[in-house]
Formats: sequence, structure tokens, C-alpha cells
Amino acid sequence: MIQPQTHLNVADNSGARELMCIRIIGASNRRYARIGDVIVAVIKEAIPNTPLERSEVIRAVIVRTCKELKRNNGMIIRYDDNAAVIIDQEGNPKGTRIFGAIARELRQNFSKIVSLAPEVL
Amino acid sequence: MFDDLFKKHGKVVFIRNDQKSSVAEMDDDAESLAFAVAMAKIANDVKAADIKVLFVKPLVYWTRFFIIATAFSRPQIGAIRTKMADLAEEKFGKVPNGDLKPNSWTLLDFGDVVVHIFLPPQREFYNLEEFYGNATSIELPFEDEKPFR
Amino acid sequence: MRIETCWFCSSKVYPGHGIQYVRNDAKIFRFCRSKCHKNFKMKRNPRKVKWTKSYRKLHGKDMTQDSTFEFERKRNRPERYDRNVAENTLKAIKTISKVRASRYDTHIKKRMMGNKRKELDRDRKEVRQDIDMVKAPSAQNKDPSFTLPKIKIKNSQPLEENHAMEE
Repeated sequence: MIQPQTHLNVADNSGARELMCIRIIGASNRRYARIGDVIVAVIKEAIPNTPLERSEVIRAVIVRTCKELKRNNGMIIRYDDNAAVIIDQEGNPKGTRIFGAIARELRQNFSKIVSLAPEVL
Repeated sequence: MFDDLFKKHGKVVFIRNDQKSSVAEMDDDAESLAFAVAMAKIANDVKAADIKVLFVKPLVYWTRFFIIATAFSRPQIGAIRTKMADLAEEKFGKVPNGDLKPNSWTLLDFGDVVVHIFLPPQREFYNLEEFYGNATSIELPFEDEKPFR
Repeated sequence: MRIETCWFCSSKVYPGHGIQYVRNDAKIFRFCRSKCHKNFKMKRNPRKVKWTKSYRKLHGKDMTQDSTFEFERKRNRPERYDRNVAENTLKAIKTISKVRASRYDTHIKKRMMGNKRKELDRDRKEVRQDIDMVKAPSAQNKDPSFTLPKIKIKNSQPLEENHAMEE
């Protein structure tokens, strides 16, 4: 359940540290985003001397949520934190490596993120 | 005293020999290997460079083979993509999942085989070979023929 | 589909039950129900919570070492279905569970061996110490016998019987 004003961690090595969601892409009045959804976000904190800077507007894919994820087979999964991976307009990830575990649901649209991830659950 | 019970009801099944299932798995692996090699051959025909087929099954559970190739322009990427998709659908009945438009990193997900086509800068940037460095790379049959052409 | 074990109480987690929690280092904790999940969130140690399997095993309440436990094992390779194997396994499950149940019974019997004696001793001690709850100490001094009420009953019963006989 990610909504505007939610702060997220960044799960890649693109250089950003923390994001704030400002819009969810999808329907016009969409309230919440889940794992595998694209959001528009502002960089709230960045590592110095990296291509990304503070207060830059970017797109990101949500990869982990504290809110439980339900699968069709009845499995319920909950993660430690809210985390996202920064992507560009083409859908390629900005970073080259991804940290932490990632949900299998991302494979539908973001196989690139999955192939960079160390662990897929 | 329980040994009698075990004797009466036949041997207790206590499978240690996983060989049987592994043989069946080997068949599946061989099938996807054939598919992967066919895909790599297409890439070779369309003059993609530096084609690598990696057996990543021991490392990641979600797929068996990675094909990594470099193309030099977006039209070339598009050509590889459409050719691969057509042949996969015709011969193997598999429909790719992934990018529809040629991208600087185009990915085709056939389930057990995942094809990555990069432009040279992107290939260096993402450096997938290093990330999957522990995977065994498979020698391609047509690689040796290249110089003769 | 695999039947997992709960991280907290080590009971079975059937498909569709419970919740999985994934820590950031990709360690998975599976819980069979919200009770276990909540206890985990309270950072309780399952070894110190009395109703969990790990506590019971640690304190010698349950059978820990037995050859019947060794049939259960985790295989990360999915087995191909084989009819003969499946039939044999089903047969074996019955015998194994029987064997395990009988062994468990003997284990419990062994564990409960000295209990009757201990209980009797405890009861006797209670009577000796707390007899003043039944009878006031001053009354006891006059007639210092603990078994006075018992004798009374013994006397009354045969009397009643005699009456019945006469009638």
C-alpha cells in the first residue's frame, strides 16, 4: 500500500537513498500501489557524486512492501520495508545491481529487474 | 521389535537415489538447451556479436538458460527480436514475454530461456556476465565456423 | 505444494495457511497462524515459550531422537510421479505413524513413571501441615487423631447396613 507521500527505500545502486511517492501510474484516481506497480517519485536523499540528485523526479517500480502480498495459491508474504527500483522511461533500471529479496510477481513486466536481483522469492 | 512390522509391510520407502528424477530433469534441460542453441543461432545469423549461452539453473530457480548477445543498432535489435519470436512460436510453440519495442536492453522471456540483447554501452554498463560469473557457459557449435565465412 | 513447518511453534503449515515474513537478508520466516506471527513480532524466543515444540524438546517433554523422524526430509528437487513409489510411500506412512505413536506412548509412560508416588507424598504432606484448616488446633489437642472423621464414616456405614438388614 504505497500512496503519495510514502517514503521508500531504494533497492539498487543507482545512487538514490530515499524516495517519496508523488503519483501512482495507472488509473486516474488510483489510491494505492502494490508490488510491481510503477510510481512517480521524488528523490529525498541521494549519495553525493552520483548522476541522481536530490529533488529529482523519477519513475520507480515497487519491489517490496510491508503490506502483505497475496498470491493465487494462498501464500501471503510480508517484507521488512517498502522499497523501489528506479527505472528510466524505457523501463531499464538505472542501477546495475539490486539488493535484497524480490517478489516473483515482478517477472511479468520487469524481467530485467529480476535478472539483476540476487534472490527471487 | 519394530523390525517385524517393517518386514511385514514390505520395505519402507526411503528414497536416497535421486538419480531417476535427475534423468528426467536432464531431458527437460536438454530440451531447453536445444531451444537456447537455436535462439543463439538466430542471433548469430543476424550478426549479433559476442553471443554467450549461460546455464544459470544452479544459480537462480526461475529460469534455466540465459542468452546474452550484443547488437550494434536498434534496427538490428528489432530484427533479432522479431526473428526469434517468430521461430520460437513456429517451431517450439513458445511466446515471448518482455519488451515489444527494440530497446537499448531488449529482453525476451521464453520461460526457461531468457534472451538479453544489448547495445554495446549497455552491455558494459550492466555487465551481466560478471553477475552470473559462476554459471557454466555452453560452447556453441557455430562459433568455430565463424572465421571461415 | 509443500507442507512447511512453522518457525515459531514448528507445527505444520499447510498451503493457504499462515503468513511468510521475508527479512531484508532474504531469510524467510513462516508462521502457521497469527498467534505465532504476533509472538514473533513481540520478539519472543520460541525456546522460552512453553507451548512451542522447541521448548518441549529442549526440556525433555517430547521424544527427540527417534529413527521415525528421519523419514521426513526436505528435498529441493521435485520428484517425478511414480505410481509404485507413491503406493509404497502411502503404505509406509501408516506403519511409520503406528510405530511412532507406540514409541511416543512408551516415552510418555517412562516420563510419568515416578509421578504417582510423588503426588501421594505431596498429598500426605499437605494433610500433615494443613490439618488445622479442617479442624481447629484446640479441638485437635483434645482428640489428637487425624483420622477421626474417617473412623466416623466407617462406623456409620455398617450401622446403616445393619438397619437395612433388619427391615
